[in-house]
Amino acid sequence: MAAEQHATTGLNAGDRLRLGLASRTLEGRNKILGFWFFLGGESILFASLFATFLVLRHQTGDGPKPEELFGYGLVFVLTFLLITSSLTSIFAVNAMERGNARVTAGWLGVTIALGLGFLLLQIYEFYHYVHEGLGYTTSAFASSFYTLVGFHGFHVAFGLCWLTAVTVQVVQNGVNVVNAPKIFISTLYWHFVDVVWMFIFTVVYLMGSLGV
Amino acid sequence: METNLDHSVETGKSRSMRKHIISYVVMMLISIAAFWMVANQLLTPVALTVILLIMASILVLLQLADFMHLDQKGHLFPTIFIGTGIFWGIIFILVILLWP
Repeated sequence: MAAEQHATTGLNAGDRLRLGLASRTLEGRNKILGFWFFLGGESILFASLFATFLVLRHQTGDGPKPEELFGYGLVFVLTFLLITSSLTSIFAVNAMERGNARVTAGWLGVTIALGLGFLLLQIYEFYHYVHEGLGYTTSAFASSFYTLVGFHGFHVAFGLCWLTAVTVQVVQNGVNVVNAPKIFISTLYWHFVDVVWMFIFTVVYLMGSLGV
Repeated sequence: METNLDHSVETGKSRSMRKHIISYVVMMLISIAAFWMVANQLLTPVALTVILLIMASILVLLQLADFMHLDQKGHLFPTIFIGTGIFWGIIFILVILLWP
């Protein structure tokens, strides 16, 4: 069988055709594998920030308490935007695997628009909290809250830049074995941002407004 | 040892797309239920906290298994990588929370 193996993919012809576009080359598969290793590290990083927040959440000093501050409406809209953008990025990958560049770029565009909506609403949210008297150094709760949620917001902003760069490549070059792993990995990152948000809205906002 | 990271199941198969859409609907329903329970203070805060954490775990599992394709074959190593990260993350949180 070794003689049949392809030089760059290390796979025989039959296996190569069965694989999706993103994982058709050895380079693509290794990129995806390496990216999962990165996501494992990111999980620990976010866990540390969650731990910090959980320990400091009651230390509000003279500043506003979480149950006075958080409203459900805005946080629900944020959640809706992010989960929906996660689905639209899957539509993009699906179109990519079918080799349809226009539809891929279109769904990536929808994902970016939803993510941008999330980011703008979060900036508005922080602006609102600052006006309510919650500055970064107001209390230990404030610092740990802004660090955790802000760090997630930074991930959203970075993800938006990444998705935009990938979309430009799709528009310019179509979809091929070179940019397919890039598209796939950028959507993995986007899903991970959503994973973190699921714990943020639960632990920070919902549990925070319960006063637990 | 499978490290093919095969996503070909995606390739235009409407069945896997239907699965993704069902996952999305389930995720949205769980999120709506979580907000609704808290807004209406349905249970005691401690009981609500336990249920909310279970719901969040279901959301994350759906996202990882379905949206990020960990349920497909050839994903042993990605599962080990992210699983190790989540395991140590939980250890960190418990240690810092329970520190005397």
